[in-house]
Amino acid sequence: MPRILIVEDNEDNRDALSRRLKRRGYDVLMAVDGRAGVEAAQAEAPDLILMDMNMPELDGWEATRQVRALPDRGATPIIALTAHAMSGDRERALAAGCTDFHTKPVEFDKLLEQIESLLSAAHASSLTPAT
Amino acid sequence: MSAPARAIRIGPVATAGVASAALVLIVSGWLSFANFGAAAVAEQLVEHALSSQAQVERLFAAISNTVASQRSYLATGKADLVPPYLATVAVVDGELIALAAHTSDNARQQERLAAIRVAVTNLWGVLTREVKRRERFDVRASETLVATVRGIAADMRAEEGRIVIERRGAAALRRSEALIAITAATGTALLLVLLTYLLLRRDVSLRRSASADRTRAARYNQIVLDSTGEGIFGVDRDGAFTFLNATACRTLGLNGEEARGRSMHTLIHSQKNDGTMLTVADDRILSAAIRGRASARVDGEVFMRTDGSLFAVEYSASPLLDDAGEGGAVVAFSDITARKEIEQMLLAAKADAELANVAKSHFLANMSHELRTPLNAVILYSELLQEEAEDTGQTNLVADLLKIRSAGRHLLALVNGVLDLSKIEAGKMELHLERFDVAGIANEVVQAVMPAARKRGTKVTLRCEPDIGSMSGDVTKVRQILLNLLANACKFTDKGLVTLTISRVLTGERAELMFALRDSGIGMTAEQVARLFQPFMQADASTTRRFGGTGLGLAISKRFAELMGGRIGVESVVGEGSTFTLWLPVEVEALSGMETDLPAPAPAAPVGKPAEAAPEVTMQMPAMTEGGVVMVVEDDDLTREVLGRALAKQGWGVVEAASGRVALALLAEQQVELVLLDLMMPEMDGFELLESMRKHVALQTIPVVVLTAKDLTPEDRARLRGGQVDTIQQKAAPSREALLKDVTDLVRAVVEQHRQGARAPGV
Repeated sequence: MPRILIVEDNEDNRDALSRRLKRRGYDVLMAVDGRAGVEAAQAEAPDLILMDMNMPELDGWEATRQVRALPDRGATPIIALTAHAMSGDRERALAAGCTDFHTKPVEFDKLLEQIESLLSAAHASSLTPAT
Repeated sequence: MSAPARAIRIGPVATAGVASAALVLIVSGWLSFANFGAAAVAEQLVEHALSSQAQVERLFAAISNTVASQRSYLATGKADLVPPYLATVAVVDGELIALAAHTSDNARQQERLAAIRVAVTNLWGVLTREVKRRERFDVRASETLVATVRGIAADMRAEEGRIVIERRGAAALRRSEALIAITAATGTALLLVLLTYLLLRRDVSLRRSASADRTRAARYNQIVLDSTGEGIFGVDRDGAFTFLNATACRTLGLNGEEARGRSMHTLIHSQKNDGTMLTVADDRILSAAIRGRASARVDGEVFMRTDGSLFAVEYSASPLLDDAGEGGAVVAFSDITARKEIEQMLLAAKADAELANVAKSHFLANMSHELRTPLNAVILYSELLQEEAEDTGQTNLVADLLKIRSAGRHLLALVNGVLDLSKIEAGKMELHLERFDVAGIANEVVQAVMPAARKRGTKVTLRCEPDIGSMSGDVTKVRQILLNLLANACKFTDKGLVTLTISRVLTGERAELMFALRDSGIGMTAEQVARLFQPFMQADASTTRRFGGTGLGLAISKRFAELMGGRIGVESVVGEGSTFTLWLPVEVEALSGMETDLPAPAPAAPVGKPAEAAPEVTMQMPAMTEGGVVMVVEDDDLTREVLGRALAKQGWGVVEAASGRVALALLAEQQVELVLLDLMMPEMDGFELLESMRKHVALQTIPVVVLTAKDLTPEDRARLRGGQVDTIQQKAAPSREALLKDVTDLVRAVVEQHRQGARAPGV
C-alpha cells in the first residue's frame, strides 16, 4: 500500500486523520513537527506527504522547502493543510512547493480524492521510462 | 493721529495768505501813488484855468476903466482927464500881454485873444477919434466895440469855466478810482489777514484738542489693556519692556513699573519648554521687535515667572513701526497650561481608544485562531466516530454524531466569519490577484451547492455566455462570494429554481462582470433587505433557527466585493423570490498601500509562519512562569522565532509581535517583564514604540532591551529613553549562538535589576 506521511503537530488531528487513512488501507507514518517531518521524508521515502502548514519550530512552509531540497524528494506529492481558505494560504502553499492544498477542517472524502489522484499521477509518471 | 497732519498743512497756507496780502498791498499802494500823482497834476491844471479866468476879468476891468476914463473926459472936456485915460490904455496893454502868456497852451483862447487885440485896437481908434472930435458924440461906436470886447471876454470866461469843470471832473474821476483801488486793496488785505489769523487760531485749537484726544485714548487703551484676559506687553527695539498690562503683570509675577526698561528676554523668555536655553537669535519676540518680523500664533514655547517656574504659552508678536521708524513689538500671550493638559488628556484618551480597538481586533483574531484548533478536533472525531459506528453497525449513533459534526462545522464557519470580518474591519484583509476562468469558477460553485439543492428539490442552472473569458481578481474571494450567494439562494428556495446568469457589462468606462443570481424562494421585505448586509443580521432572527447559517456570509460577501472594487445589489419580492447581483471589475486593481504577501518564487526566500489567524502575531500561550514573560518585537519572522525559542528555553514566557503597533496592542492585554525590541520595523518602529510606551503610565517603566543591526547615532541613542536602554549590536556577536547567549544573558540581568529596583524603594 502507498505510504502516507502526516506531518502535524496537533495530536488530535494527527490521530483522527491517521486512523481514517489506515481504515482506507494506507500505510501511515507520522511526524509531530516540521523537523521530524523532514527527517521522516528523507528516511522513510513516503509516497505522499500531508503537511500541516502552521506548526511551531519548523513550520510547514520551511519543512516543505527542506523536503524539496532533499535528493530524490523533488517530486513527492505534498498536500498542504491550512487552517483557513481565506488568507491566501493556497497560493503561498503552491509557491512554497506544495503539490496541492486542503483547507482544514478536513473534508475527508475530498481529501481522499486528492490523495488518490496525486498517487495515481505519481505512479503513472514513475512508470514512464526515464529518457 | 490726524492733528499733527493738519498742523503740517497750516504753515504753507498761512504763508501763502500773508504773501498774497503783501502782494495785494504793494499793487494797491502803487495804484494809489499813481492816482494821487495824476490828481495833483489835474489840480494844477484847474488852478491854471482859474487864474486865466481871473486874468480875463482883469483885462475886461482895465478896458472898462479906459472906456470910463475916456467917457469922463468926453463928458467934462477937461484936459487934465486925458493923462489918466492914457494910463488906463497902458494897463490894458499890460493885461493883454499877461493873458497871452496865461493862455499860450490853448489855441482857441489865442485866437480869441487875437480877436480881443483887434477889438481893443479898434476901440483905441474909436476912443481916440472921439477924443479928437469932442464936440460930436459917437458913443454908440465905442459902446459897440466895448460890447464886442465884453462878448469875447464872456466867451473866454465860459471857455475857462468849461475847462475848469472838465478838469475838475477828470480829477474827481482819478480820485474816485484811487479810492476804489485803495478800498479794494485794503479790504482784500484785511480779508487775507483775517483768514490767516483764523487758520492759525484753528491750528492751535486742533493741536490742543488732538492732545486731549491722545490723553483720552491713552486712558482708554490702558483700560482696554487691563481688562483683557490676555497678557499684553510691549518691548522696544532693544528688547526692553515698554509696558505690561495687568494680566501680563499678574501672570508673569512682574511689577509693571519695575519691569519697564528691563530686558524681556532675560526676565521671561530665555528658556525653551525642555528647560534648555533659548538663544537671543531664536527669540521670535525679539526678531519681531528688532527686525520687524511679524510672528503669528506661536504655540509650544514657555515664559518664565519671576520665581523661575515655566508655563506654556501661546503668543503673537506684532512688530511696531511708527512714523519715525522706531522698532519694537507688542506681544499678546495666554497661559495655555490648562489647555495643554486637556490636550494631553485627549491625546492619551485617543491613544487608549486606538489601543483598545487594536487590542480588540487582535483579541478577536487570536480567539478565532485558538477556537479553531479544538473545533477541528471535535469535527474530526465526530466524523471518525460516525465511520466507526457505521462499520460496527451502531447506526443508532450516526444521527447524533452527524449533529455534533454539523454543529461543529457551523461553529467553525462562525469563527471563520468573525475572523474575516475582524480582518476586514482592521484593514488587514489582502487581495491575491490572479487571472482565472470565470465559467470554471462558476461551474465549480454550482457543483458544490448542487447536492444540497437537490435535496430540497430545487434546480440550479448556470447561464453563462460562451465567450465570458477570464477575469483578474482574488479567486478565493470570488469563489467565497458566489458560494455564499448561491448557498443562500438554495437555503431559502424549496422546490424552486435558482439561476446564476453571468454576463459582461460596461459600467461607465469600466468593463465589469455581472453575476445575477435569481431564486424563486421566500423573498424579503424592504426592511429585511435593509438589514441584510449587517453582520449577524439575517433577514429575520428566526431564519437563523429555521435555516441555519452564520448571518455573516452576506456581510462578508459585500465587503469582499467592495474590496475588489465591486458591489452587490439585491431586489426582492416577498413570496416571489430574490435576485442578488454581484458586479466585479474584469480587472480588479490591487489595494493601494498594501503589498501582496505572495512569497517570492525563489525557494530561498524567507517565509514566516503561516499568516492564518493573526498574520503579525503568534502567541506561544505565555505561562506565568518564575521567569516571567518577555515580549519579542521583531518584524523578521525567522529572527523573532529564533529569539522567542531561545528565551523560552531559558524558562521565559514569550509573546511575539511583528510590529510596534501589534506590540502596543499586546502590551495593553498582557503583562510583560521586559520588551526585547528591534528598531527597524515597518508600521511602527522601535523608536515610535518607545515613545508610545513613554506616554502610558503602565508601560513607561517596563524595561526594554534593544537588539539592532543599525549603527546607532547619538540622536538615536537620545531617543532610546535618553540613552537609558540597554542595546545589543547584532553585528558585534561572532556567531548566532553567541548573539542568542548575549541576548538571554542581558534579558535576565535587566529583569533581575528591575525586580530589585522595584523592591528597593521600600528599603
